[in-house]
Parts: sequence; structure tokens; C-alpha cells
Amino acid sequence: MSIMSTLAKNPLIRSSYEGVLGAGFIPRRAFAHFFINDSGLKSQIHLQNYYSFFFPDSLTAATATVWLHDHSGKQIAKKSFEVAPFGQLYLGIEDILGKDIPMEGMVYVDLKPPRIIRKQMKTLPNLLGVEANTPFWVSFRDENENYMYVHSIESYRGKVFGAMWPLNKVMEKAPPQRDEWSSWRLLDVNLLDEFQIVVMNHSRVQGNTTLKVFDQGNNVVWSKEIKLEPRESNRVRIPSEEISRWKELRDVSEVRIGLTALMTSNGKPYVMMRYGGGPLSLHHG
Amino acid sequence: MPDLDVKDFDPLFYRPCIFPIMGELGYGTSVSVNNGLTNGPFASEMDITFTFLSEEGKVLGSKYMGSLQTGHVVKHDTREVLDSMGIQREKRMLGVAHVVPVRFRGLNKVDVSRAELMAHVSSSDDFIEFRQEPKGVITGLAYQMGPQNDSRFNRTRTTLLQAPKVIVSESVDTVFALLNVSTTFDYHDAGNMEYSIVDAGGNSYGLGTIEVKPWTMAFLSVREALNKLGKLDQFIAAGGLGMIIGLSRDSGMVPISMTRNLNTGAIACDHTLPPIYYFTTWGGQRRIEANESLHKLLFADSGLLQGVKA
Repeated sequence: MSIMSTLAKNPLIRSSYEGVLGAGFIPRRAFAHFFINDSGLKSQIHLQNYYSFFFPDSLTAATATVWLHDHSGKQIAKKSFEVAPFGQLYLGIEDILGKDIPMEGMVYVDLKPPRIIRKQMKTLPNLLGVEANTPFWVSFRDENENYMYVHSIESYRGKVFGAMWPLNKVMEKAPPQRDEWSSWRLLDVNLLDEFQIVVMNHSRVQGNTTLKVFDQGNNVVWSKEIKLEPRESNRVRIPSEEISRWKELRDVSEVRIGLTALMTSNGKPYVMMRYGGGPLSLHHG
Repeated sequence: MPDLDVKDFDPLFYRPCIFPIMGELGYGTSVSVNNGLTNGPFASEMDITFTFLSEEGKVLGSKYMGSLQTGHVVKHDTREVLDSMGIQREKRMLGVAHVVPVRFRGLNKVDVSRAELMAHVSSSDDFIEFRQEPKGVITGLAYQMGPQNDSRFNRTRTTLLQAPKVIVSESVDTVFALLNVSTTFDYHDAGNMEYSIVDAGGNSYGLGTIEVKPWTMAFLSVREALNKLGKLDQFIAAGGLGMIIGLSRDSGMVPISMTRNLNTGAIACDHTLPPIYYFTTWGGQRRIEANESLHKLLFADSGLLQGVKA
């Protein structure tokens, strides 16, 4: 149950909160994603002006703000862009940073509703429970136009847009939920050339976890302890000798990954693989 | 225990995983199916059965694959399953992995609670891989699938597609696979989607319609659609990036985008995000009204739908 749902049980708070929401102060969460401009890959943000679909009688441009962090979690860029009605943003490194440098890290985006849309937020169903989100995609391509893409799966924690003080602060300070997790994707070892796992900390709190690779019998065949600073992205490359060892073992035909603790409730890693000398593929864990 | 409020439910669709098979394009499909609900009153050993449907939506056959304990996952290459069933695999097909509690063995209809069904859907996250091993292409996506086009779960049938994932170039096409499925193989309702191809500025390059027959998958190739509109070169020259706006008012479709390198066979694939990903309480009358407004705004002038009939 969310903090807001709990507070809403108090009639006075509920009434006040409904008034605040009705005035357009809906909590809004920016989503975060992995962004890389290195190792032969170029990233591109894909984001649409989704307000056009929910408020088609009030078509208007919206402002997207993009924050880019390097791999250590340090913010290196913040820039805003107008998105036309039904329009989209496609942003590469030069659009965000103004220059083309090797980097990788976390990117997050907020799409601020224009005033005319905020005024209509009160028409959303179940107003007390509503939150707005800004999920988006990042595509990754190599020099031969082989593409990979996946949607963002976790919001940028510790920062809530739209909501009024002190509610935004209450929501921002909620401690990150850090549960053990393992993937349900069984990955073939045969033909596997490269295996990279991007572990990210979407929260404002440093954390420790252990990345594990299990075989099809749930035996740990490889592991690595990882310390993650706030907003850090750690792209772990499984050593090629290790992959060769799995192949030689022969009884390791499929593997899957796990973490002793996600840094946030849905902060699952991204996985990149290369098979048989072919193009890279990507999925979220 | 909750009320058994869903009556006469076909247990084959208790927790299905429905996926594309793109044999016509030379890809095989593997599926990792899990029994992810590990505790609580609804955790159960599950039977897994595969069913395959032809391009026309006809059931080609089913095969029992064994049972799966709680907390376990198993991977099947459907090419091997199809071969064992004598089904030609170089075709466009739909596959269904039925994940069913062992207590329903031998039953054609059951009464079950909505809470139980949703508990299993929530914990599912099946992984679908498309494969062309000779080219080193193995790529996948994961998704959950709740009951589709069943009035017991969805009072209205709509699909809103807003996917800024159109990438088209000399060597790249983006295809949207649209699945029209349900909770019974007796489902007979075709679905229709109106769509607009828009560029980054939100300008339409043309409109089209696509019909998806029951229990089939239709492909919407943006490259082909732009070619028919005579605007492929113009779209590529403008950057080759854009979005499909799709609206179905008679079907809950499952859209999957695939951006494919036509030379190497590489595929970027992902599901789209339903409206509740953007506004968490979206639905009901407000959704119906917004969809009607979208329809009037983008598609109501049927004279404009001269574009592409896929």
C-alpha cells in the first residue's frame, strides 16, 4: 500500500489531498535507463508526448527534461526539450551533452504536463490513487545498424515531480526496497560469445549486492560482489574464459542471472549477449 | 479462500503465454516458461502444454510437455516441438504455452477465482526468444499476459498503441506484430486497428487500417506501409524515426515491435506499454471518451483512410 493510500484513510487528509490532486498536483515519476556511447554502441532516447493520447481535446507541446549521469553516478548533463503534440524525441549523446564522448551511465527523463493539461488532471479516474509516469525506450545500435531496444523498467528514486511539499518529500524519502531476485530467462551457453550485465542503482542510497550466474540446476557457476553508489551503473563483463569453462563443463547448457539484492524494487539489470559472432542482443532481466 | 467468481473457464487459459512464430522470416522461437508463484494458497505444480495455430487461426495440434514444480523454469525450442508433431515450421504461426495447475487435469471447464488467476499472471514473466543461429541472432523479450478479449475480465475491448519505436532506413524495417487472442479457442471475433504513421514532429505520413483475424497475428511493416503511400524515401530522408499511433475499438490486441536489420537478421524487440504505465489509474469511462476523441481527431474522416489497407 502506498504512503498516499495510507494517509488517505484520514478524512481530513483525504479531503485536502483530493483538493491538491484536483488542482493538478499529481505525483509524477521520471523513469531511468541505461545509456552508452562506448564499446561500439550508440544510444538514443525514444520518448513520445504521451499527454496527447490522454488529453486529445487539448493538444499542446510538453517539456521533457533529461538528466544524464556517468557510470559513477555523477550528473554530467541536464537539458530540456519541447515535444510537439503527438511528437517524439530521439536524443543521442550530442543532443544531450553537446559533444560526442565515450561514456556510459544512467539517463532519466521527466515530461512535465503543460498548464492546460494540469488543469484537467482532476478528470483522471480514481484520483486519490493516481500517479503519472514517464517511461521511455532507449535504442542501442552498432556501426552496422543492428538495433537493440527495451523500455525503462524502473523509476528514478528519491525525486518526485508534480506533487506538492511536503508530500513529495515524504515520497522521496521512502527507503529503497532491496529484495533478492533471480531472472526467469534461461540463456543458452552454446554459441555464447559475450555476456554483459548492467547493474544499476536507481536510488539515492549506496548499496551492496552480489551478481550470480546460475546453471539450469540452480547451481552458482560464477559470482561477483558489487558496491553501487547512488545512480551508479556497473556494466559487468563475464570473462570469456569463464564462458569457455561453462562450455567445456558440458553440463552447463543454460544459465540465468540473479542478485542478492536489487537496489530498488524493480531495478532489475539489463543483459547484453552476443552469439556466434552475430550482433548483440539486449533484454531486461 | 476467495469466491470462485469466474465460471466455466477453460483451464488451458489459466496462465497462458502466447507468442509469435516467424518461420516465414526464417526465425525459430524458444520460450522460457516459469512457475513463478512460489508461495501462498495458489502456488501449485503446473502442467505445461503447447498448442500451435496456423496463419489462419486454426489449431494445428497440442502437445503435453510435462509438469513444472513451483519456483522452476524450463526452456523449450518450439522448432523441436513442431518437428516432433510433424508441423511444418517455415510458416507464420501462433504458439501458446498453457500453464495449468495439475488439479485441473482432465477438466474442460472449471470455476476459479479472479484473484487466483491474477496471482499467477502477476508472477509470470515468460521469455520469448527469436533465433537465427547461422547468423548469430538470438534475441528476446519478456512479458506477462492477462486474459484477453473476454468480457468477464474486460468490459470493453480497446487497444491504444503509442510506440515511438519506428526506425526505418535502407537496411532497417520496423514491424509491429499484432496478436488477436482470447481465453478460448472458440473465439471468433476479428479485430481492427486504425493507425497513423507520424514523424518526430507529430506529422502524419498517412493512415491505414489492419484487420487481425481471431487467433492470428498480423504484421504491420512500416516500411511496406510507407512504400505503399509513396513516402518511404521522404520518411528516411527526414531521419527515418517516428511512431505508430494505433487505435482498436473492437479488440484488445497484443502489440510487439520488432526493428529488424534486413541484412544481418538482428532484431530489436519489445512489447509496447499499456496506458496504465503512464497514468496508473487509467481506464473506465474516461478511457472510452479519450479513445473516441482520438478516433475523431485522427481517423473519423474515413475518406482519409485511403492510405494503406494491410
